[in-house]
Amino acid sequence: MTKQSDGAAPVIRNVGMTGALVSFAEAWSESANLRAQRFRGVIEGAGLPGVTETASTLTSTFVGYDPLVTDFAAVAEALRGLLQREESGGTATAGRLWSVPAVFDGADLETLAGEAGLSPGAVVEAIAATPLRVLMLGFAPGQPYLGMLPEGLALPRRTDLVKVPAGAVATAISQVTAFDNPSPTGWWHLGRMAFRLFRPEADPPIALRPGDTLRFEPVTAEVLSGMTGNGGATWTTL
Amino acid sequence: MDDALTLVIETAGPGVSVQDAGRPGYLGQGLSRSGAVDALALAEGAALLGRAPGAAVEMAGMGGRFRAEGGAIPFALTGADMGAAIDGRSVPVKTSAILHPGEMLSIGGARSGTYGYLTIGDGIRSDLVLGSQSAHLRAGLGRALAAGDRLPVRPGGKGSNRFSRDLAPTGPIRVVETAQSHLFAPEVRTRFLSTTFRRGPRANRMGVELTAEDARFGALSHLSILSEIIQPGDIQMTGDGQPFVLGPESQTTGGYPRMFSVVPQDLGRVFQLGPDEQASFALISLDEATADLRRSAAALAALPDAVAPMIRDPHDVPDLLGQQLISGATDGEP
Repeated sequence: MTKQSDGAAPVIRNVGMTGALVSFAEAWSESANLRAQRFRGVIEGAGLPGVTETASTLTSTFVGYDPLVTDFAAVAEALRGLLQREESGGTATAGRLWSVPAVFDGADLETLAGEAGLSPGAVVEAIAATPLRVLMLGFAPGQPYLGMLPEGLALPRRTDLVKVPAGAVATAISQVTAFDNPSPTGWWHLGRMAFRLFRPEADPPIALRPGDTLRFEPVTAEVLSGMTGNGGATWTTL
Repeated sequence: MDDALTLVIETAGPGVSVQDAGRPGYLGQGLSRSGAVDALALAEGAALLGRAPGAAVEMAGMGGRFRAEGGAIPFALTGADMGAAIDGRSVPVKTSAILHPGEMLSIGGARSGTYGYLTIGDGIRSDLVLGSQSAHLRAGLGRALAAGDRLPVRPGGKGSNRFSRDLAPTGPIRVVETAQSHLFAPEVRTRFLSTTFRRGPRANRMGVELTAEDARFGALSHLSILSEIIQPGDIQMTGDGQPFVLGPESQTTGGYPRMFSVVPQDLGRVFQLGPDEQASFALISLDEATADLRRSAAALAALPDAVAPMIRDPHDVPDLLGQQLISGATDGEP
């Protein structure tokens, strides 16, 4: 496994015929994640010709382009130019701190507690005490990859698939995610929230942004059952 | 608005939905672009009606029965051949015709191809959601059409057209190398390119499974790959090395490695593979692929030039002598 040290030259590769991917690391790295989010802001601010959209992932920045207007070679060259000026720029929006009510009654909470050598209550306390950054949005609309949990709370991905309900909060590889819709998953089911990640009728339809920070606020099932739409989620600027 | 032009859905197969070119721009928020799986068929439907491209009814594997209300509706059939007929009179695929009130348009199961398109009038009058009329079934945007649904139709469009030439590409499906190609050993990539595949049983708007005898294509380090951005056309190998070509409704990021990416101009052909059809893949350079995509886009823009009026069998024309068959051959009265 190759692991780029921080500060190593990012690698630019094409994604099919319509995208360029700037990878700051090949394995998980917090600093690469921050660079990827910041560099997305740099690209957004540069207004490159033919660029149709941008995204940031765990350790990369993605640039989608229209191959009728430009091509990979031109986009890659422009990106190399922007990387030279990376340190000086960056218009990434300031992150926000979210508080999201959740009930921790998932089928796998005991498993995580057993692995951590803690009581389920102590696990919930530890999760609630951890500010979780939105590392990326992906897979399904608005679905966040949140991280990282404290060291003792790491479970590998499971080898089977389980079905989790709408609003499910789940964990694997020290990360936390949540599902709007009932889904099969290889992650461990911890609990559920009423906060809907994708609301097409709302403005904006997707509330969370990469770079935001989220803290779960443990509540009872009774309190959660009274919450709809935004599910009691609130945010303040960091 | 009771007499507004409407397509009434009497019955519908399980995978019938409104699709246009999709809604790009939301990848960074986890929403794939959706849209028609066969962009050429979508453009052909509009060209046959002599109108601008827009939304059509996409039918996966099975069509349905449709009626016109509030007037006659010109329509075009493109994509899969689904054995369509109006009150028993056959309507060939890749033609446009007119559905009159009181008639029933029946569209059956796919006989060749998989996705059929019913393009109607000058378009479907439905709301844009995030800039597109496309349903995105996995994301809960819009929904599959069902019996009793009514689609408001914008009046316009010309029936009785066909194509004077066939524009569908043939030969192997072309692919380019992509961001994760290097995660596969060269011999594994070569083996993929020399394998003849069939459409597997797991196929929908998210992706199409490819099957072949003993065909598994593992990456060098399957388990340590970070979840990364997906583009439609990416060929993903699942945990057991089974290839899937990802489509317009796929997940936006994924941790399964992707060996190649199908070029956009050939992607519709993968989704159109019928259960008994075979496909193989040919690797081309990014430069070749880009030049070809630009030629293909120009050909798509010129589609209206390939449209011609239907030549009718004289036996089907009741009043042959009343028809002006040769321009200028009658006395000049319009």
